[in-house]
Amino acid sequence: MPLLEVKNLCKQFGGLTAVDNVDFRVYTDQIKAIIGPNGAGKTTVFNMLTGVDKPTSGKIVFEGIDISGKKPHVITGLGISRTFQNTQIFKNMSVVENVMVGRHIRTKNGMLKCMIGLRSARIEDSESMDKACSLLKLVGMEKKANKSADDLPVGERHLLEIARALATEPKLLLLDEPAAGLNNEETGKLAEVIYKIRGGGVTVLLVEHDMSLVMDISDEVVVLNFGEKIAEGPPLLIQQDGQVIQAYLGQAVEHA
Amino acid sequence: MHFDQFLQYLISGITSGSIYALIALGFTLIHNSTKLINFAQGEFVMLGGLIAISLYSAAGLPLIIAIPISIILVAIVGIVFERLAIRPLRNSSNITLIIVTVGVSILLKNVAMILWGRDPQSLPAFTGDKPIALFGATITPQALWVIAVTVITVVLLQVFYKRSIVGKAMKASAINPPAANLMGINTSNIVMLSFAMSAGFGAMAGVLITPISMTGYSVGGFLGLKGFAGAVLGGLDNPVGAVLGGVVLGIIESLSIGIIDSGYKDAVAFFILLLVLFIRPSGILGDKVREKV
Repeated sequence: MPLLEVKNLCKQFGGLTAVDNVDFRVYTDQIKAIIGPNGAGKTTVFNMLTGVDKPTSGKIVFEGIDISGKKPHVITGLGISRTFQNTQIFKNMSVVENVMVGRHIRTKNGMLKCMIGLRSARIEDSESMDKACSLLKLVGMEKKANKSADDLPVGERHLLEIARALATEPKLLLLDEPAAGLNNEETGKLAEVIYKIRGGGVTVLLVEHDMSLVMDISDEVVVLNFGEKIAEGPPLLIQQDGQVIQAYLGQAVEHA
Repeated sequence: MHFDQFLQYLISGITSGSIYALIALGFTLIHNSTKLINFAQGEFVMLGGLIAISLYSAAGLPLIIAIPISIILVAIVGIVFERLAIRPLRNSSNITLIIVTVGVSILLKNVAMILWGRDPQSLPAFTGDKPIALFGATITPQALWVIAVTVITVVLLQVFYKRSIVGKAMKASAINPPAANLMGINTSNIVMLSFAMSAGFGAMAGVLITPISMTGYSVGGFLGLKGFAGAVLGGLDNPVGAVLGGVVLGIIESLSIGIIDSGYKDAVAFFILLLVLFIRPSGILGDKVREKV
């Protein structure tokens, strides 16, 4: 059984069809990428997977459960978590606090217990802190734990979001253009982090424009163009696919 | 003004300022989670006092039981208010929702008038009326209660924000609701929690102030506006600022009685509110408002 199965997924905004009848599957322990020119519908697919947008039609099945149209926090609870193309960190909070917010859904103590300072609440808080610190270590940011999240450069904001998303204990991690704004060295580090995440038993689905990163790390690639899936397969085959080359060259000519 | 006189005004200013601070705290909690100004905030104060009076004098419960029950009941009123009047309209514009809170305020006030009548009522002071001498001035035990409970509440709230995951979730939901929702936080429950806390803090203020200045169905409007002025003064999005703003407002108001005249007390409070809105709309500790180009 696939971990995630997307069936005949469609999304229309008014008269515009952003995603048109898209199918794909993600299997456990895969690193899978969705690529495509700007406006191909990649982020819309992510938004439907995480409950931000409701599909117009079609199904999203995660671990055998139909999650299409469920609320974002419910989907996170079931085990899908994400990062954002334009990073959405919690400003005015420290780096480690940002990650700890992700722990909320896996903790049990309510507000009253926290205010009275019950032992169980204190233990839970310190456990969350330890967990958050180890996740920061995984992405190589343990030294910045107590810094204000506002001061981070773009690359580290992406890494912080990855740590925060992992704090919710996902089975499937969605990365929305994690390499945007990174230099070559940082992208190399990002690839290592993604491998480590997969090594930890988390399946990864990413949207990315950096082709060398995609071709390096993905097991399989889905190509979208104008909302439709035009190809799917291992990176080597995708690179030789006529339709894919056409889609990208076509765009290049338009820009020229 | 002699020092002992000054001290007396200062003490009474800090006492009423603590009440404004608790009310102001309620404004910031709801504003942080919904970006709304809840104009029914003062009615929570009124309800807290009146429900405690009924539980104490009509039902014959001791104060130590009547007070927490009253606070819990008002917190429940806050939850019902959010579920019935705010949540169904959550996709409406803010101005619509703010007008809803004005409507709820009028409704609660009139229901209170029917239930409790028009006469002001009171509670006995928690621990006697014998004033305590302090450097030539005096302070009543009830005033000490007001100040102590406010300080403890503010400290506990900070511990809650700093040391608990729920507190962090609440903070995150205020900063970036969609991202918080995607990180697994049920933001609509957080909104409900903020209404419950806000109503509870208001009720606490109402119970504390009743032995000093009595209460009645109509006290909510003015107390609410004072709390709002305090919150604006300190920064509507900053709980610490709101508490500070409330206390500062109480002190200025009280000193103005000594310097100008007691008749201008309320005018001074609202003059300050206007001044802040003109000069520094984000408040003393609030985030700087970005200049619109």
